Amino acid sequence: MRLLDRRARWFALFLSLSLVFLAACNPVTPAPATEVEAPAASSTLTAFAPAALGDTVTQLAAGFEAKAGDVKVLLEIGHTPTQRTQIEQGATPDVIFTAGKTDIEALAQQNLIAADQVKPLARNQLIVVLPPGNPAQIATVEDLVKPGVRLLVAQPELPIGMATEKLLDNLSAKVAPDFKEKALANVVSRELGVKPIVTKIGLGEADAGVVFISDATAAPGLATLMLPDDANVTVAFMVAPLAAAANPEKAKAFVEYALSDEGQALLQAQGFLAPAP
Amino acid sequence: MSRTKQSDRYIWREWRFWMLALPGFALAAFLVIPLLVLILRGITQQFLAYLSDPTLLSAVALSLVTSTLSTFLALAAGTPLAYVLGRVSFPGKSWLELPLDIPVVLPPLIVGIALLLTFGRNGLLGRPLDLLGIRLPFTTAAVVLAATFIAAPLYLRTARIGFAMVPQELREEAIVEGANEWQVFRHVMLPLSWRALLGGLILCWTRALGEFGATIVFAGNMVGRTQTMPLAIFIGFETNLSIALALSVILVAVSVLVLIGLKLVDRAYSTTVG
Repeated sequence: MRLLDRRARWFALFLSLSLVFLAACNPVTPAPATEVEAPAASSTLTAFAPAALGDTVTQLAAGFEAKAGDVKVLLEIGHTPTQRTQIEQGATPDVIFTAGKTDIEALAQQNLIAADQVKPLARNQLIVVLPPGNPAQIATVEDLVKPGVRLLVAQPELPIGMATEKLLDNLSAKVAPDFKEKALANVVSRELGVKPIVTKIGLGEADAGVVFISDATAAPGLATLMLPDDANVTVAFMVAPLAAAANPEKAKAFVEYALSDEGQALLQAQGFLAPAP
Repeated sequence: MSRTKQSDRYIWREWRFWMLALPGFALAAFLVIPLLVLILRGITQQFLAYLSDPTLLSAVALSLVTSTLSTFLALAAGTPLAYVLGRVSFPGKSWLELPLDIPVVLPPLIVGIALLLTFGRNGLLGRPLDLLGIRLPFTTAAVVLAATFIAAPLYLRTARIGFAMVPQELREEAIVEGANEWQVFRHVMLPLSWRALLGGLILCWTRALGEFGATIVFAGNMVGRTQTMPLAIFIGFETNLSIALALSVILVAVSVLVLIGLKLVDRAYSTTVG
């Protein structure tokens, strides 16, 4: 009898451990942030955002929390294409901010987002950041293709990388036909995002890097080179609540806050442009 | 004798056996099932088509070359150091060995940042190198250095333990009989510790092959120059999951082949000696 008791207790322990193991394997909860259950789950919002929006979306979240009072925003900062894959594989944030339209439109097409809820948040353009001391003496766009200049751009599959490719095409059309070819020959690395480019330029590891204007605003220590208006590329940043949002009211309220005058002022202070009318 | 046998045969009737065995089975399944899923998902009809993709091939080639170079560096520089540390003892030695073991437990991203701050253009060692015209970040050499920093300590550690396991008396006897240090190494130490050295080298090579964090920070990402297999897998995850899976299958296959090779060497050795 005594033995049975002990056996039963051990079995219960083993069973509960197995359940924990199985729960951990459950593919419905891949994103770490969604696993974190705050004491009052209904007042917690999870938002996915790209690194290009990182500083600004933190301010937006703080502003919204102050205004709404009883809500806590959990942010997941990552790459837009990765976050799209995560949502397609079952991650359930309440709100998603994206760089570019491609990924959010793909999510809307799969009905993971209501198509009429996808809103343009802001626009961003490209700029060249220069390291301290500007060792390659870059003063004009043409200087970027001087032989030996060490250029950092983003991996072309990322929204920033796509925009950079388009920029080089535009510069080939406007400045010199071989501009793109020469520029790509100067590229020393295709970084996996804007922030690594800003950091490595800040360390002086390369001579110039192509990032969003808002990234340059966030790194006031770096000198910049403006790109010609007729060649620059505009990237739309989008926002939407998810169809499966656990708290649809709060999710909508957060999106509305980001689009309000107060939210837009925060975005524009970081170098973003108002969304296309 | 027969009693033990009896209890061995009916061990599965004992509840304590299941208490220990079930979590063990669960762990084994946990370790094996995801790899099987990876292989099954990775081997698709396009698998062979991906294998002829030039970007993918250059990632495979670059990975093989750089991890082999790292392993060679570990062998050439690590063996004498491991020999000294494995044979000589002096007060405070274990404290001296500590920093050599740290890279084994350090997150690779941190290693990348440390290397960038050290060998970067404005770094402690990078600045003098820059004056000599040598710039390491964003080069294939940086890939090799990052992998060496991460993987060489594994060889160093294994080799050190291998040398230390050789009984002290054997070495002393050889010296009494007039052998010099080189002869001791060649005829006593090496025959008794080569399996540890080989195991360490294989660990080192496979770890170098999988290096990601330090590489992306210190060496960057450039097809044909610094884009190794793990980097290509990461990019594939953001663009084309099938390519990432195909590359993952190759990496898993290489690791499995290496482990099988190690087992065969081990078996051949034990049949000839013992």
